[in-house]
Amino acid sequence: MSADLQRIHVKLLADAQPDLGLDPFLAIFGRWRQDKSHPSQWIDLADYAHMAKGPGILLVGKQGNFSANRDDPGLGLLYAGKAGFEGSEEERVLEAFRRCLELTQAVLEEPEYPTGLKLEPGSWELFINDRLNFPNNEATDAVLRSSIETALNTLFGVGGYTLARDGDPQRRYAFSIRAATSGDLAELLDKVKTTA
Amino acid sequence: MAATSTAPSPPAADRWAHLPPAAKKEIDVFETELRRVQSAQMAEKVFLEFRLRHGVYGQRQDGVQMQRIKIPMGIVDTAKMTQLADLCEEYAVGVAHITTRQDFQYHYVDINDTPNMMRRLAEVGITTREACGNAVRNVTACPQAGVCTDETFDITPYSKAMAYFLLRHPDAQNFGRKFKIAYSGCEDHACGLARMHDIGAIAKTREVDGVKVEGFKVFVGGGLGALPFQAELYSEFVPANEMLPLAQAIARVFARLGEKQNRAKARMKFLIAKLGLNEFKRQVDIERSKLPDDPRWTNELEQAVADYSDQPLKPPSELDLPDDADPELLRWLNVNVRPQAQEGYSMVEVFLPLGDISADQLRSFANLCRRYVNDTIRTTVDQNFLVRWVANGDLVAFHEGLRDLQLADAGAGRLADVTACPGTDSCKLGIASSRGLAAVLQEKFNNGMARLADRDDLKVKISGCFNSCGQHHIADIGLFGSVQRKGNHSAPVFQILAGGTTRNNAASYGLTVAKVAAKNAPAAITKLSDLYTKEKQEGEGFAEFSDRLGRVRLKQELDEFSVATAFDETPELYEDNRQPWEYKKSLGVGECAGEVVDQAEFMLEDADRLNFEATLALDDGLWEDAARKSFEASIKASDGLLSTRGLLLSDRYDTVAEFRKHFYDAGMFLKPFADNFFRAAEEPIDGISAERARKRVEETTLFIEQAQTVYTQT
Repeated sequence: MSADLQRIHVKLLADAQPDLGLDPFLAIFGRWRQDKSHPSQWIDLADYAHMAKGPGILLVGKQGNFSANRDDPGLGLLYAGKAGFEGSEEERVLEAFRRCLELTQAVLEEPEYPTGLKLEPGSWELFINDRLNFPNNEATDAVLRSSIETALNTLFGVGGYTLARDGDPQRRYAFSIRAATSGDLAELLDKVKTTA
Repeated sequence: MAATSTAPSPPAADRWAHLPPAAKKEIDVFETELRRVQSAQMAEKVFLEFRLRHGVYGQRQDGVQMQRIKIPMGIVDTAKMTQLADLCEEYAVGVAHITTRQDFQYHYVDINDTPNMMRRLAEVGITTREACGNAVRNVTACPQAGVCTDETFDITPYSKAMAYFLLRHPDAQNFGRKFKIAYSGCEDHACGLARMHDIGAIAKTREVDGVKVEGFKVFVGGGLGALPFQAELYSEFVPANEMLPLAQAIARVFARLGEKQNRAKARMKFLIAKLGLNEFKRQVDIERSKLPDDPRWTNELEQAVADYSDQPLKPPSELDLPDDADPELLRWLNVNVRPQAQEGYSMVEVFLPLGDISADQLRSFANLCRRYVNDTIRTTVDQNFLVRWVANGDLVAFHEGLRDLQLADAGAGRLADVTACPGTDSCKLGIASSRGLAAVLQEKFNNGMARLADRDDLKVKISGCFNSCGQHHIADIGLFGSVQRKGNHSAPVFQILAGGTTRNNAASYGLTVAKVAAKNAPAAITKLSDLYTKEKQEGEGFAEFSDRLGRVRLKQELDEFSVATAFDETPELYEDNRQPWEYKKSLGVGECAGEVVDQAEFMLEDADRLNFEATLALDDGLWEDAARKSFEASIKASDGLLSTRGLLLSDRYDTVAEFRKHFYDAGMFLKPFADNFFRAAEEPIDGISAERARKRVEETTLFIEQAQTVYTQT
């Protein structure tokens, strides 16, 4: 059978104090959610900042969610894609990075963006959030890994990163990605835009 | 370029073959009805109540749903917890929320994902059936049952028998509103909250002919909501083996006589108030005397006893604390850990602020529990987990494991353990942000208000509106959201209630004393707490204290926190907690009350679905299947009509004979259509021809149409 690869999550990790307050995102996302024309089709913001771990403060959309997220392995900006991905698997993965990078660029321009949240453009997590169709096993790896690597080659260059798969079968099919050089967000965004 | 990507998963047709057939069928029907309403083949009103009865509840925000997941008595095992973690990660926002009815809830769910979510829940034995809507909601029970040091007896198998007996029971499908049942193992403690339920059962024993018999003190007609009612005592003692037939008889009275039009007066508490307790009891006795013996009355209990396993994983042991034990560990041991009745074991309450746990935390917590206990885990009405049968010698290691997951906060049962409903975060009826206020309180408890957080003599409960989903009536300090307009601006406010209590199974409800700005609510709570400390008399609980001081004094004390100034002077008071923008009141139509959909409407819709399935069988050349399905559809339509004549499915009547008597002989149903039905009832199905099968499906279509017409006329 064939199934749509839609639930692609991309998280850009940050270097921050563990107790960094996320409240500035309330104001930012509170404004953003009013933009009904945004391609993510924002629905509302959800506030889980009271949780020591978890989604933090997130903007929920029909196409995907965007959050200041406190789940493992640590604080970062997460784009959680849900719908609207088309083309090959490689193109879909790049599209998830594009959406994440565009939202990240936008949030960095907001006056309330917390200065203590230092993003690390070389440290990423990629999750395929769909155990039903893509469980964390070798069969999924056989189907998806080469497409993911091709997408990452576009972003970070061949040999320009390390890729570590999460081997815990309870968890989602996921990778930690560490680029050899820390890079630049604008440059990464240019690369995915060029590819698109 | 591939248009779609290829998944390594098994073919869809085989994917769910492993599910129990009844569960699989029920979810398939749900998905069929979802697709039917999406293609305008089903009335939205009927689907709304139908989806509610599968736990799918519309959120305040358009296009997303809350999925409530029924966990009878809050009993979960590690397999269920792992699945619940995975599903909230994949289909919601990565948070599992525990409710005041010991359920789980996910928010921001796409309704198109719900069928597969339900199937995956069914894989671990969980159903969402009747989690919302006008049905018997999750049966709650004291989570300490079986390990409590002062319970009368373990109520677990009795409550489980009740939960599964009434689940899908035909006598519990035609209510005007929801119906809630709770069990408590003792009279004194707060765990069961039996006295705020439609049926509240408190364990009792009685000596009969020298033999100790287990039974229950039964209360009926309790409920919170905008107009809270204390339950009335129905009986000092109902033998345990009489509880299921009694509940069935009560359900029949509620279905028969309960209000169906006015949603605000449809809970059973209003029926009892209208009839008076004595007349209500007389009606229940009548129904009880009519009930034919049902083997399930005993089978359910026998099954519950047989299935009940509550054993430790480890042998009993003693706690061996190091001399230099971490103060945080000592505090946690003091606050969150209680000794069990069984020596050498403790129960550990895992405190979840606002009842929330992340997917990662829940999965890892399940793994931690696997190492120390034998699936003896329950959710609590305080929105926490209770892990039972932890060997005392493992407590230090268990604490370390929880600390690694950031789940070792020592707040369980203390003031910090604030209850809050979803409020304006997701509920259509929310007026103020109850979760926002609770979150601000949590933040303050961690930063400067620790003294307040640690109180064990005060409970705070918060609702976003007067409907009391946060149970504000039974808190020492209860708050519910409201709004206050000044000029062109509106300020969110909280009404503060004092004098309620969860003790003695929620024996008293609080009364309003003041209205404060939402932003000032934490300061108002602090002031009440300080006042109590300063002025309480020896042994005086907060309810008695507030009663003694009087509402006038309390109001005076809290006046400084009201919205006294205009927007221009204090714009911050016109914002809600954790919402840094000007407040705007926005209300939708709540779904708590469901839709009053007559059982006949449900059954006529079901008849349509069945006949549609019959047409699919025709397409596949399955003539006998088609004939069988179409006849089933006619029976369903007839039963729907008969329900309007007061017949209940569990009356075990002969549908064809009763239909003939009530509709055919009475000249209410067009003769040719009814004749087709009677002929089909006589006609053998085995070996039926294609032509005849097709004819029968067509006849059934006309029969259902005529049934719809007759229903409309009645």
